[in-house]
Amino acid sequence: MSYAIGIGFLNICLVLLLSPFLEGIIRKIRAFIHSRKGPPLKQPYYDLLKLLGKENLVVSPNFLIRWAPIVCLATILIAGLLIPMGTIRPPLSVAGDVIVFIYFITLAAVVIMMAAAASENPYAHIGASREMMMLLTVEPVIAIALITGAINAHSFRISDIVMWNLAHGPTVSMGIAGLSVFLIVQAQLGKLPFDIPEADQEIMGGVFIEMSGPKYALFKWAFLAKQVIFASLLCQVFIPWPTTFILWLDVLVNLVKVLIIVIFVCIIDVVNPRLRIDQAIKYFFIIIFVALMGLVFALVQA
Amino acid sequence: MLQKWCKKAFPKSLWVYHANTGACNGCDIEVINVLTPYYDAERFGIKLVGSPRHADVLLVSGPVTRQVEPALRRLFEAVPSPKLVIAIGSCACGGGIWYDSYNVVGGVDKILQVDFYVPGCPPRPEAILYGVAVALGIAPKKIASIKLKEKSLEECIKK
Ligand code: SF4
Repeated sequence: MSYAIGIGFLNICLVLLLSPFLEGIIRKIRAFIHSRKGPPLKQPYYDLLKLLGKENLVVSPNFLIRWAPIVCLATILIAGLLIPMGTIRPPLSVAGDVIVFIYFITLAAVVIMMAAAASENPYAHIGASREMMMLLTVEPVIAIALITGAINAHSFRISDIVMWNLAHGPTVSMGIAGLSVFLIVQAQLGKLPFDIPEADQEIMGGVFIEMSGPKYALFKWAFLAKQVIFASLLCQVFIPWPTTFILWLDVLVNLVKVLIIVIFVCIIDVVNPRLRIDQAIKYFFIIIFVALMGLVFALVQA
Repeated sequence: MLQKWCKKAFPKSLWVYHANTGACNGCDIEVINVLTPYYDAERFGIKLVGSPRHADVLLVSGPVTRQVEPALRRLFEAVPSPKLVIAIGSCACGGGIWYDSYNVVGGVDKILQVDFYVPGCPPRPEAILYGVAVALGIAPKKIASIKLKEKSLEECIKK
């Protein structure tokens, strides 16, 4: 029990405290590609602190808008507890498995959508409807990829999937599932070819347009935490090699892998323009078919 | 303690909302220039945001016309509380060449309390960056206020 609490503490620390640092690295790399100097690595911490210290404007009497940021960050944190970060067993594995993880990730997006719809701003409504379309096409890919793993391992537990993956080495079905998750990570993190619901230049921050001060800080923090969670999901569940079963070494390896994935995501983000929502959805449908192919492979091999 | 940290973080991450209140677009182009990779305002943590709800700094360029005055007031209210107003360009500082136009109220300081002025028509990007740096306390002020006193007639005669 105390082991689980310790690992949970580690996960929360990684997800909450380390994620702004990763963002700082991303901004440095982006600056490097633009051939400029870029903000200091601590910049995202400053941003979050500043936003937390600002006035919390009441834009609407609706209670949704007040509670949505807290619920969003909380769900993301729970999702972070359901994903292994350097261990085989996620700390909250007593409470649930793959399906609960998918629930919580979806809930975070739905909460953002509801807050946007409650903020009575036309731009936020556009953002919310785009977010909905993205959600309906992106979420199935994650679900299919995780179910592929579940079929392979004959178990919905994430630890079983990881163990199966470790025991069988790279397989076609898990490779395809991992690839489709990698292609979807960009959209889940709201990075550039797919930052359609937030679209800064186009709909002025879209879903977040009415969020001021602390509310915006919590949403931003949730997004930063999502980066770590999805990168960990990808590199722990689908590419779990090398695993040494020594705790600190595994945590370190996980961090390095997360960093590599985040750098990939950043480079794709810098060199791409934003897609229109219909183009993006076409692309996601292709990825859904790719993921389904992985599922078929898993069924055949089983 | 958190409050103290928040206060400390404020000057290190200024998010800017740019409002054109009737500028001829000269100032706007210079403001955009500051944000290009060449001048790289992001290294001070400055970022252009699209929504006043996210902003800390209101960059106002241009003389305030009668039409835009109520909108500017509402815009100021939309920015959450620790906030700065910087007037960019001669027009925003005091009306500029349109100081006595029938449709112009005057400089921004007639409507809002302006914290920093960056004069020039249009101010060079270097000047805008310098103004912001003074605001952040990175660069020293190059001007000081001086008081001029009128001598009385007797003092003049004595000499
Ligand atoms: S200060 Fe000069 S450049 Fe700027 S808005 Fe006025 S006239 Fe145009």
